[in-house]
Amino acid sequence: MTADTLTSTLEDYLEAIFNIIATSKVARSMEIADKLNVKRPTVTVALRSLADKGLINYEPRSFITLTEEGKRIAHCINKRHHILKDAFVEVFGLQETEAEDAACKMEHGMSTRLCQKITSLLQTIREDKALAQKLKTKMAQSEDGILCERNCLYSQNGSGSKNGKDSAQSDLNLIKPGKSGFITRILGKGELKRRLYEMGITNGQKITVVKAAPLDDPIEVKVRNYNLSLRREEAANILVEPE
Amino acid sequence: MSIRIALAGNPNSGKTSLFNAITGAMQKVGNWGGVTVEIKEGITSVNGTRVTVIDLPGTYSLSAFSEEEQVARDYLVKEKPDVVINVIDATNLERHLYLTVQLMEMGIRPVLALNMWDEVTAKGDSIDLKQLQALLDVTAVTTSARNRTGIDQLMLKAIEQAANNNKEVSILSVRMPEELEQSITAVEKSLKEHFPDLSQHRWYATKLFERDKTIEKIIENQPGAPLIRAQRNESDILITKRLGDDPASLIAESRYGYIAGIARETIVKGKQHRIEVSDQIDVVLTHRFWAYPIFIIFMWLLFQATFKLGEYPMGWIESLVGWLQEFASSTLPAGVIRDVIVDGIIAGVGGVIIFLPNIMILFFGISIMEDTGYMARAAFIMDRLMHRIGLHGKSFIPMIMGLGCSVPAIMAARTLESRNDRIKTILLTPLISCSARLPVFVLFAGTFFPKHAGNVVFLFQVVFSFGAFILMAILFKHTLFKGCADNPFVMELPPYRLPTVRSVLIHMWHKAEHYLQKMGGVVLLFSVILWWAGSYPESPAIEKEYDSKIASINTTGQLSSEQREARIAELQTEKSAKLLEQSYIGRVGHIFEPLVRPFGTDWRGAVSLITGFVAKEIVVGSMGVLYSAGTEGAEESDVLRAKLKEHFTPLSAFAFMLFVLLYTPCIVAFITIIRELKNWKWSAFSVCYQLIFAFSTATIVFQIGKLLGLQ
Ligand SMILES: Nc1nc2c(ncn2[C@@H]2O[C@H](COP(=O)(O)OP(=O)(O)OP(=O)(O)O)[C@@H](O)[C@H]2O)c(=O)[nH]1
Repeated sequence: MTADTLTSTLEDYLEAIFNIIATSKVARSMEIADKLNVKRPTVTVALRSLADKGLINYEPRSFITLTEEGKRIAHCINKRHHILKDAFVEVFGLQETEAEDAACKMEHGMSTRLCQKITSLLQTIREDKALAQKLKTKMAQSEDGILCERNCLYSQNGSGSKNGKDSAQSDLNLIKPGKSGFITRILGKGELKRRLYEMGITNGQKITVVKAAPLDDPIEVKVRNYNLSLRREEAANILVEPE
Repeated sequence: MSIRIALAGNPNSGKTSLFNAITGAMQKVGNWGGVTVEIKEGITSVNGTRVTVIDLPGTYSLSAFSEEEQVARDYLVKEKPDVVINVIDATNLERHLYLTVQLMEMGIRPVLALNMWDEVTAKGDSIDLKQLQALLDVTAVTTSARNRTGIDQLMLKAIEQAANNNKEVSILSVRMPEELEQSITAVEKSLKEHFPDLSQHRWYATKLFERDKTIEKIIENQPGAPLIRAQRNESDILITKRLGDDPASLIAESRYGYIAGIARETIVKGKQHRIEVSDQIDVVLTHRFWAYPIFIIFMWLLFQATFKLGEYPMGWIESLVGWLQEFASSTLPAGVIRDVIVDGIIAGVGGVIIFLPNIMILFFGISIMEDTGYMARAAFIMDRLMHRIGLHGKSFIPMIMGLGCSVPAIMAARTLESRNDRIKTILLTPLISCSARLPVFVLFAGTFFPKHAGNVVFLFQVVFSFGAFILMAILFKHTLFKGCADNPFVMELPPYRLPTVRSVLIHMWHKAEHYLQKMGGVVLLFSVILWWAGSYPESPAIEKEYDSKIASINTTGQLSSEQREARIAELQTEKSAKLLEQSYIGRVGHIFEPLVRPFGTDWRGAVSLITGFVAKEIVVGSMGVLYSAGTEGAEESDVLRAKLKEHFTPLSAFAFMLFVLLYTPCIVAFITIIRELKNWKWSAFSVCYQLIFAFSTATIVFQIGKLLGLQ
């Protein structure tokens, strides 16, 4: 297993667990929920999925630890995160918080090769003080350039979001009530998947989260102009591109 | 001339309502997925043509993965009805056409009933009928099952279609992505080669890519099957790689794509922008804070209506039965026949119809909840809690109703869609202590724990029974139903609708009828058997002995008349006790004594537990007889209390109460379980696990208590 086969959401979880463990040895789902600013049931679903993939040791209501494989991948993700953030601060002159935020979003789509290239770029700049200074002034002037279109659902070569790897995508549980998204992919297989697309939950379809039940699970969604309820663990299989 | 018409459609399309409107038959109507599991028939006549109408189970698709889908598809394929009417909720054309497309892929040309037309016009929308008919090459009629409009027109069109039946129907084939199209065509070709007898090879090929188990089975073990399967698997992998999704998803996507095109061309949106009333109601009923209080109030109302309101008609039924018994015993000549009729048959019939008021009121309530759409919301707000213990949100209603009586509660488990959920709920519901067990708890708590009687009763009736329910639910989840993946919850939340009085009444009547038909005979038989076992073999010796004793009291003049009566009553009870002891039930009680000993009960307890199988209320009565305390006053009787103290310690009383709480429900409930499970193995399991559970709990408590030196 490599980091590439995880969804960006799961990568975020793995990273959060890694960081919590780094400071306090073990992680609890409550801390994870706090750190990622999500509800408990959502965390439970994600944790179960990570446990299924053999990345964490997880029993409900007990501590969470990383498996060897989980440690390896989390370490990778963490490293990518730091490289990106450093690059944003040192090369592009961004503020800490902005760099942190951007790194968070971009770290998921990166291949190992790209990561290596950025590392060597960073290295070069660190070694060459003059170049660093020059860059700094250049970057300071570039604030008012052309804004890039944020939405790039399909990448140039056509493989695009269907590979389930692009960074803007998240699962349905992360869509806030009242907000919508477009379905990019349905994970899993078997009866659930069949049932979902028979009910009209198909790729490219717009889906709106109406609300969550009072105990936060299940949720109610609107799709093809009618209302449907889904458990959180089922919704986790529906990947969407937030509108 | 006579033709057969089948109604097919999604759940909540108004299929059942339409069926009722066409045939006027008694049939269930529910705003709830998959209520119609059986196939219902009705007959009507249109212009001299005899028309048999068949109401198929409501399904979202014909992929044959659920029981309903299997039943519906089997009927269409094997019985080949002359015409299929596809009932569509016209306010939600897009999703409902998915089934239509599947029908047409099978080579069926349905007549579309665009139902709920009243709601479409009320919203100010419309559908371009001409366009729709042209695009799909079908006949479509607008109807409103509620207002009973468009129904004659629908029937005329259906009959017209039947007359044209011999014309060649073009099979619809939805355009798929290029690679998939080629693969399907390739498999289709191989199918034609190896299975020339099948018709509709393309449909079979598509189904193979959808991984349809039934179709895979049809070609299984035939020459050529391995080749075709290999061909399918290979393309499957290739397509998944190239197009980034598996064929089954792509097929569904293509169908929806085709439908979206049709919807775009035909739906005419009105200018009016009405606020959806339904959403407004929903804001309140599933509100963060108010949802539960409101739900509890509804449940409380339903419960009170079912059991408190039900007490009145139950009282009437009781007095009617009593009157009938008296009437029969006074008119019939004494003898075996009279005993059979009075104590066996009339008492047995009474035992069956006594539940009728409960069932009718409960289903009146449930069908209002279903028809309005509240039931789906109840499941929505309860699912989190129920899912924790491996059940479905809808299991909550049978659970709560179990507090009143297990019989209607078990029947209420029908509202569950998936068979696994239904089985689990039916197995667990009897653990909830029904009101008939209450007298036993009142008697024992009052006798042995007089200071805390109220608390002890509450402990058993509520804490222990729900505790046992939750415990067993979790146990089932991790043992019997382990590995069974949870059925998808994915549930439609239909818009709130006002129920029609007619459909609610039809539903209620249908349930009552159903109950009487299915239960009557069996329960009657069992009651007569149990009555017989309790009164035979006759023992003239005992009768003679006591009769002469009583006679001698009557003749001796020393006692005052009051004393005499008291003495006679005492002798009467003693006589009944003796008679019961040597009856078959009494003998069985003796045989079972070793089984009740471990939790501190004697053969008398065993006999009263056996009689409790007739109805839990009888336990206290039997104890009155067996402990020679008379039956008068039942659980309040001081004499009985005193006698019980001689035979039970507080500890063995506690264990006995546990056993009563957990052991098999009464016979009516048991027959209901068999009827609803429709499976002997599960029914037998239901009895066994409860007996074992009750026995081990009572024994463990008693033995540990003894070790701890408790009395
Ligand atoms: N406004 C309106 N409501 C309707 C119409 N037909 C049915 N309904 C309502 O729609 C709800 C569902 O109707 P059913 O007849 O139970 O639907 P069904 O398709 O048989 O559903 P299942 O029994 O679950 O398969 C009920 O509340 C009906 O009162 C109609 O033409 N107009």
